[in-house]
Amino acid sequence: MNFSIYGCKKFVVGSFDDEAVLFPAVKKVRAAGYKLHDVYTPFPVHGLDHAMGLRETSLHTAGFVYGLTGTTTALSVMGWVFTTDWPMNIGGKPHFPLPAFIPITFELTVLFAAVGMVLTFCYLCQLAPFVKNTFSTRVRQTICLSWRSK
Amino acid sequence: MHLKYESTLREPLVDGVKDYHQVTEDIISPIEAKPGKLWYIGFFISLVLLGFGAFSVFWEVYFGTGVWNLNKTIGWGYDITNFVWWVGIGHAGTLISAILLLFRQGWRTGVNRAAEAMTIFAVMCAGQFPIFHMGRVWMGFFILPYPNTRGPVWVNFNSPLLWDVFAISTYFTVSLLFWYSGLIPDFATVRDRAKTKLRKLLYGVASFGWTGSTKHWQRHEALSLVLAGLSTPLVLSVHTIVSFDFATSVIPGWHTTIFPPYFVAGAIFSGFAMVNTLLIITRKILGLEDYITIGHIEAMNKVIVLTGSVVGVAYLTELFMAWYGANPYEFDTFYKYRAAGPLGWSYWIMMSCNVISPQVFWFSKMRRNIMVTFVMSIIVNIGMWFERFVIICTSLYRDYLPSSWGYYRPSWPEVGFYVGTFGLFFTCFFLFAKYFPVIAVAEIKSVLKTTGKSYKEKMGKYEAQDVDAFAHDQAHH
Amino acid sequence: MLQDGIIEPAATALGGATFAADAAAAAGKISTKQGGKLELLYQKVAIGSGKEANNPWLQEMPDPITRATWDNYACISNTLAKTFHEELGDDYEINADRKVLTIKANGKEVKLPLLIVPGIHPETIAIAVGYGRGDAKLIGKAAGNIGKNAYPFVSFNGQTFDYFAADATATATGDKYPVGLTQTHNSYEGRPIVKETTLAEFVANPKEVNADRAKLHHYGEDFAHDATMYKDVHMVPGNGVKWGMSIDLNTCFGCGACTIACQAENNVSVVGKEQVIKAHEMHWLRIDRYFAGDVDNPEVVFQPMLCQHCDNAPCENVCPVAATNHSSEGINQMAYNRCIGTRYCANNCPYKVRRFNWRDWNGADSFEHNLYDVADMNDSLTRMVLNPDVVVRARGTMEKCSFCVQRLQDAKLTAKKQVVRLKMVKRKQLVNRLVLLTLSSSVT
Repeated sequence: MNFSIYGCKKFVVGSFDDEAVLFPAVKKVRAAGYKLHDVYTPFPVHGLDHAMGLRETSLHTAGFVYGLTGTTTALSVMGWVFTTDWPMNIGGKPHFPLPAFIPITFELTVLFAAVGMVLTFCYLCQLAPFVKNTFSTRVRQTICLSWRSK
Repeated sequence: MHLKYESTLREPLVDGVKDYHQVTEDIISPIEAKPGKLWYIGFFISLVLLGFGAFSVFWEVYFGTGVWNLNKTIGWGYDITNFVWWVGIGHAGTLISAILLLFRQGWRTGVNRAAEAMTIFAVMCAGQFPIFHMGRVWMGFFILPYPNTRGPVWVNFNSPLLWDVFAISTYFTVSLLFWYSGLIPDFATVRDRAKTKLRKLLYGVASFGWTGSTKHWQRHEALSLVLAGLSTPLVLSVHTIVSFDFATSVIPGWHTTIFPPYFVAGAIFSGFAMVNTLLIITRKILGLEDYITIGHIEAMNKVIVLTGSVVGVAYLTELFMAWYGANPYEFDTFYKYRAAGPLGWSYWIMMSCNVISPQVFWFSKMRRNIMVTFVMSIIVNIGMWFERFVIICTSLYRDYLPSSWGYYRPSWPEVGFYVGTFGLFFTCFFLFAKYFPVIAVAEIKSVLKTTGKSYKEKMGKYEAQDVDAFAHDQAHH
Repeated sequence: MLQDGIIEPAATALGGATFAADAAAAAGKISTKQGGKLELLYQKVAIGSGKEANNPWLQEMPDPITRATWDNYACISNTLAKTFHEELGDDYEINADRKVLTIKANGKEVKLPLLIVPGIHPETIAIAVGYGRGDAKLIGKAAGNIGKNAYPFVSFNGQTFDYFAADATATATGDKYPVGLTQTHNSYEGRPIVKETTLAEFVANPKEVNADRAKLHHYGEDFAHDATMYKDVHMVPGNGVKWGMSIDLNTCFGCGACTIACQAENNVSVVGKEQVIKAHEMHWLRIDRYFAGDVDNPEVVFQPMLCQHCDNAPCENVCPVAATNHSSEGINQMAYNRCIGTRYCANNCPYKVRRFNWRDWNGADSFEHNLYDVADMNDSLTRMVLNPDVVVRARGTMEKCSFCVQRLQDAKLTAKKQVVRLKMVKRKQLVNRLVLLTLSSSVT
C-alpha cells in the first residue's frame, strides 16, 4: 500500500490505483478507529459508500415530492384557468376535461421532479459553474483517502 | 471479492488490453489534440448548410408562410414531417441512456453519451419546425401560459399542439439535465488532465467543481437512476403526444388509436439508425473501435429489425382496420389515396425502406457488416421520413370534401429549412465530437473489469474450474 | 347537343332572344359543315363582355363551371382533349400547367390553354370574351396582361354579330400555360356530401334520402350524444340567442354572387393568379361544383360551402392559443390578433373552409416591402372599399366565415333599441326572428 503523507499535520492521504486495493484499505482504516473523511474516485465504485459507512441518500424522496408538486401545480392551474379565470366553450368540451389535462399533468410531473432533483443534487454537492473544487484544492483543505484521477 | 464478471460467452464490450489509465487516454486525448482535416471539412460544410437554412427561414418569416407550397388543403407538409422525424431520431438517445440503464444493458455504456448528444441536437432541430411553421412567429410567446393583463388570456390546454409544447420542452430539459449530469465527472477528468490554462478554466467551469467524493457519487448514482426512471415514461410520452397531434384529430388517416405505440416504435427505429450512422463515422474518425465494437453495432441492428417489424405490423394493422372498420372515408384514404393515388409513390418508398429492407438484419453476417449497417441506417431514415410524410400529406391531400383536394410539392425555402437543420445538427455534433468526451469515461471504467476483453480472458481459468475447487479457492482467498 | 350548363351563363349575358337564334343557327351549321369544330364565344359570369375586367374581386371569382380564375381558356370536352393527349385524371388534377392550343377560325388565330369541361360537346370549343385587354399600364393592373382577346372571332352576318364560328380548328402548340383553378377534383366520389333526388322520388319515399344514416343507428340512436365522452354542457336550449343559417340547395345555381358579397362585406383579400395556383385563395364562402354521372353527359351540382359553425367544432380543440372558440350564441369565432398561425385548425376542419393569410395581402403586418398586392387593392383610394365594421387580417393569421358577426351584433342592438323582447320560446323561432331582424336592419 503506497500511503503518502501530505503536508497537513493531522490528516493522512492515501493514493490508490485500483479499487481492489482500496476496499481493504478503507475497511482497515475504519477498523483501526480512524475517522474517514472522504474517498475521491474518478468513477463510481459500487459498494464503497457502504464500506465507508455512509447513509443512503434521500434524493429519491426529494424527487418524489417534486414530482407530486408538479402534478398538483399542473392540475390546479389548468383547473383554475378553465373553470374560474377564463371559462370558455372550446369544441363543446366541459370546463374541466380531465382526459385532455393528463398529458400536461404528466409532463409537468416529470419536469418538476427532474429539475428539482438536479438543483437539489447541485446544492447538496455544492456544484455550480464557477465553483473551484478541483481535486488539489480540496485535498489541501480536507482529510482524505484519495484515488488519483488518471 | 472481485469475482463479479460476465460469462465469457458474452462478447466483451471493451476490446484490447486496457487499464483505467488507457481508457482515459483513448477517450480524452482527441479533445486535447488538434482536429484532423476531415473534421474541418465536415464542420465547414455543416456551417454552410446551417447558413442556407437560416436564409431560408429568414425568407419565410419575412415574406410569409406563403413562400412555402402549403395550401388551403395541406396545412402541414415538410415542416411537421421534419419535426416528427427529428423528434423521433432523438428518441434512441433517451432509450439507450434510460431504458437500457433500467434494463441493466451493459452495452449502452459505449454509445450512450453520443446517443444522448444526438437526442439533444435532434430535439433542437425538431423544435425549429413548430416554431417557424407559425404564421406569426413573432407572436409565438402566446403559446406559453403566463399571467397577463389581456383579459386574462390563457392558452388552450385541450390542444395537442400545446401538449407538444410541454412534452418537447420537458423532453429537451430532462434530456439535457441527464446528459449534462453524466458529463460533469468526465469534464472533471479533462480538467484534471488539462495542460493549458484556457482548457483548465473552461473545463473547470463546465465540471461545476466536481471532486469525485464518494458521497457525491452516491447522489450522482441516485440521480441518474431516478432520471432514467423519469425519462423512460417521458420518452414514451413524448412521441405519444406527438402522435396525438394526429390521433386526436378528425382527419381520416390521422384519427387512429394505433398511433402512440406505432409512433414510439418508429421513433426508436429511426433513432437507432441515426445512432448507427453517427457512430460508424465517429468510431472510425476518432479511432474508438475498441469501445464502440461490432457487438454494439449488432445490438443496435437487432433493435432496428425488431422495431422495423413492429412498424411493419402497424402498417398492416392500419390497412386491415381501414377495411374492417367499415368507414368509407378511412377506406378511401388508405386504399385509394395513400397506397395509390398521386402521392402513392411515397407510401411504397416507406414500405420498402422501413419494412422490407431491414429484414436483412435477421442474418448475423449482415448485422455485423459495417458497410451494410451504414447503408441500412440511411435507408431506414429515408423510410422513416417518408412515413411521416405519408401520414401527414396523404391524409390531408384527400380528406372529406373532394372539392378541396389538392397536391403538395415543397418549395425551395421548405427544402432549405430542412437542409438547414442538418447543418445545425452536424455543427453541434462536430463541436461535440471535438470538445466533449464522446464516450462516458466514468461509465466505461465501471464496467471495464466485468466486460473488458483482457479482463474476461483472465476469468477463463475460473470458467474451466469445477465448482468444488472454485469454492475451495474462494474460501481461502 | 350543347349542355345547358355551358350555355346558360352566355345566354344570360348576351341577352336571351339574340342568342337563342344564334344557337339554333349554330346547330344548323354543325350538321352542314363536317370536320370543323364549333367555336363558341361566351361571356363569363363575373367579367361579362370585359367591362368588369378591372375588378380584382371578379377576376378572382371562380367561374361557376370551370372554377378557373384570372384567365380565359379553351373549354373542351374530355373526348376532344384526348386527341391532344390530355384527359381528366390525377395528372391533370395535380398540375396547373395546361397544354396550349392554337385555335383558328374565320382566318384568325389565338393561342389559349385548354381546360377540360365534362359535358361540353366533343366538337365544341368555348372561349370567354373580355380578356386580352392589353398592357397593365393602359388598361389597369387587374385586367392587364390577362388572357387572350377572343373578339376577333366575332363575325357580322349582315344582320347581327355571330358569337361562334363553325369551321374552327385546334392544334396543340407544345407549350404549356398555368391556369388557376380553385377546385381541381370534379367528382364527389359517391360520398354523402351532396344528395340528389327528384321531387317525385322524394315524395314517394322520403326516408330514402337519409337511408345511409339509418345504418349508423347501429352505433346508437342519438349520435350527437352517444359519440362523445363528455356531457353537453354548453349548448343548452333556451339559454340565450343561438344563430343558424340555412341555404336552399335546390335554388342555388352556382352564380357566385354570394362569394363576392361575402368578399366585399368581410374585407376578404384578393390574392392573384400565382397564389390561386398555389391554392392560397381566401374566399370565406365558396361554391363547390361537382359533376356526377357520365363524364360526357354529367349532372352538375352546386354546393355553397362556408364555415358550418359546428357545435362541437374540431378546429377549436386543436388551437393551442384558444384563438378560436365558441360564443354562447353558437358561433365559432376567431380572435385574429390572438392567432399565431399554426394552421392546425384548418387541417382539422372537415369542410376545409378556413383560410390562411399566406402573404401580406393588405399591409396589415409590420414588415416593410413584403406587401403582396396583385391589383392595386391597397392604395389609399381603393382601401376606401374596406368595410370599417370588419377588421383587416394580418399575414400569418387564420380567418374564416364569421356568420357576419358584425351584422348579428347590429341586429341585436337594433332589437334592443326597438325594445323587442326576445322570448326564449324555441331555438328555431328565435333564429327565424333574428334572421329577419338582421335583414331588416341591413335594409333600413
